[in-house]
Amino acid sequence: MKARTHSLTAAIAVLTAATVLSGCSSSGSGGSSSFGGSGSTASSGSAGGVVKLDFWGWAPGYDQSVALFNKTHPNIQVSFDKTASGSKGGYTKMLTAAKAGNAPCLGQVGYETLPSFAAAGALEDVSKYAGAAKSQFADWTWKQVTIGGQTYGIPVDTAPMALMYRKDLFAKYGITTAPVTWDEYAADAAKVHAADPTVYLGDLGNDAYNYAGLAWQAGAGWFGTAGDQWQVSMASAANQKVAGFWQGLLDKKLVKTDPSYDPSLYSDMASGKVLSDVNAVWDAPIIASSVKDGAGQWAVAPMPVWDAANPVYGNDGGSATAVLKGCGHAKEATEFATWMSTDPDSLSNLIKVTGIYPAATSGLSNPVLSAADPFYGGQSIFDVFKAESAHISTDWQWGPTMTQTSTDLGDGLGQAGTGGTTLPNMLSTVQTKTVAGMKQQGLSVSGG
Amino acid sequence: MSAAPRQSAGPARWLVLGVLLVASVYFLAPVWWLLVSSTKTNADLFSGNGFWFARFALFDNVQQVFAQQGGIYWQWLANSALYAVGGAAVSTLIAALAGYTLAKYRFRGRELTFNSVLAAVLVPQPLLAVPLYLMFSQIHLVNTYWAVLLPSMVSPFGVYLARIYAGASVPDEVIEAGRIDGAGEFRIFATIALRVMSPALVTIFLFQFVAIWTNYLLPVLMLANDHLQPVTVGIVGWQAQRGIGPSAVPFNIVITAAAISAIPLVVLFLSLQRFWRSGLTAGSTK
Repeated sequence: MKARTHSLTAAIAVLTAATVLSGCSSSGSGGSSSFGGSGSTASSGSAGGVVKLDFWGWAPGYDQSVALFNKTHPNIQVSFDKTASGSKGGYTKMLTAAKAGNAPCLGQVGYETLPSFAAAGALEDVSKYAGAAKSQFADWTWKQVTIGGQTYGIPVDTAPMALMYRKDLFAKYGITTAPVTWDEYAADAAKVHAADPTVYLGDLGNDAYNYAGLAWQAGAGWFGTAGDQWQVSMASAANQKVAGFWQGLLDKKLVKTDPSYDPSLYSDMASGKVLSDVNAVWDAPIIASSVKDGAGQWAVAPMPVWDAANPVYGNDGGSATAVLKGCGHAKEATEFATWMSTDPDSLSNLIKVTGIYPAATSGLSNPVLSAADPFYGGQSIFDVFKAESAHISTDWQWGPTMTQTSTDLGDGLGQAGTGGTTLPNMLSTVQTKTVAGMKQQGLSVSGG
Repeated sequence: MSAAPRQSAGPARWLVLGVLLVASVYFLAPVWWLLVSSTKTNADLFSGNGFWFARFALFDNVQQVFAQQGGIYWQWLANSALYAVGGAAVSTLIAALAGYTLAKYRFRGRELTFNSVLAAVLVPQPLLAVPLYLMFSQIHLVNTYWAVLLPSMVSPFGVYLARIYAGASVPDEVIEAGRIDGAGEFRIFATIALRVMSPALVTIFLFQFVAIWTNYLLPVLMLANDHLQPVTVGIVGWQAQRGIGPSAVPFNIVITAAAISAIPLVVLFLSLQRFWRSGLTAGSTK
């Protein structure tokens, strides 16, 4: 009986392996067969001089910019297909399609994900077509779409960070002007806590990308490239400084640790228990729609800085229109991507419908962005972000393993919030895991 | 009737009751939260107790769900129904045929075939989504209804269950009698075996229906068109648009849409449950 169980188990194991292997081999032939090549030309073929391009993305409003483009460009016709959002399967879909050889020419890809696409060989180098557009974008955004000297797409939007706060409650606790530096922020946090221990100046959530924005601001880079090698520096001295600052606030229980974008955070904001949040430009409408109580009492101030004499700000988000591997019309694809990010009509549409904050420098003066926001007491909140845009730290680079790194970091932030670990220790752990993960992918890493 | 032996209320019994109670709270609490939350306005979602009612806005919410994005929610429900009903019906039929054949006919390679099916039970479905995409893109079926329907039409677990059930519940004597009376093999299957196997088939249908209805990765990979998506992908898409810009989909719509999408599953379970349970116990009274 026992022997029989064993042989059955063995048979199952062998068969499982065979099933998995056959799955793999079919994928291998998918990439190399003649279908692979013809698939991409079919999706981006030209008939009668008209170039047809496919574009995968998920943001609402992109389809309207595409329609505007098609109306004014009879020789290039783009068709926008809505996929699941990147982290919910959209990126997997693009990578899989690139592997199958039938990826669309264009894809909506976040800055943080571009390096992993590049590492997977899923992007087309469009440096020679994109070069002319470079001057229309801030240097730091161009750096986000350029990896190892090759440009893979055109920036669409950015996400400068600012301090969104309850003006009336700040005044109630004796804070007359929003903190300009992080030192003032810490002092204000202590002041609020002393007045009422159940109320907190701000919140340190568990969103890895929000924390990345804080590191970004401090010039505390995580990734770099030297030659063909990746470098990871999440435990650097600059990173220890940022981590140490927040750990100090956590130790004295001066900031709340509600999870990011969680109902509990909005509930605390609504009841006046959390008075502010340092977050990206796209979070301003989220707070406005999630925290109805206190409408009109909120305001936006620049993100606190490390050095008031030389202010530098952080960024949390933003994405590009990338040109995907196998695109037979990279030139036209780049032309479309540039047009979408710079044309005034397209930008007005993207600002109004999608809610982007434009990467093109001309877009920052778009009239749609000067409207007064009643939730923020009639303030023209985008003026704050516009002023910051010119002072975003320029040397931030994302790494090729952000899916893993952000998950580890999010877990670590959660644990640090409940006292399970400290932020400096947590960063060292994530650094080790990230280097291991890169090696596992066969990437060359130094400084592990 | 009441003379059935009954265990005394010892500590073991209380322990079991306690564990069951904790388990049911664990499983029901999210459902309760979903039900309560689907009746709230967007503002009330973030104030007050998450597990108790505030202003009752359920009908408003439902109306908003079906009005959002030009009423596309109807289409998503219809797509989900098509995938789930079509996929589950065909896979149940295939499972019945295959399970009966494997149980009642002796042929070379029978055990090998069955073991292959068993092995396929062990392979998690999401693992197959990427290879399937690569295969389907070669035959130009991606981004069509078939891309989701075809993979849903096979259920290795269904074949396994059908074989076990057919082996245990369809007597060889009845099949023999049918043959002697001159019935063809397919007629014996269709008129005798299918009926005897029906409780197992209901189970297979239910399992497959739930698996397809809640499937996410396969449609995400296969489809790039809002009008082909099932309700799962649609709702996650709305959730991703949370808060941002004027095209934002408020939380109350996402939550209510999620609650509505669970209704067909509940209805299906309740309506088929009686049938299902009577089948499982039918053999024990013999």
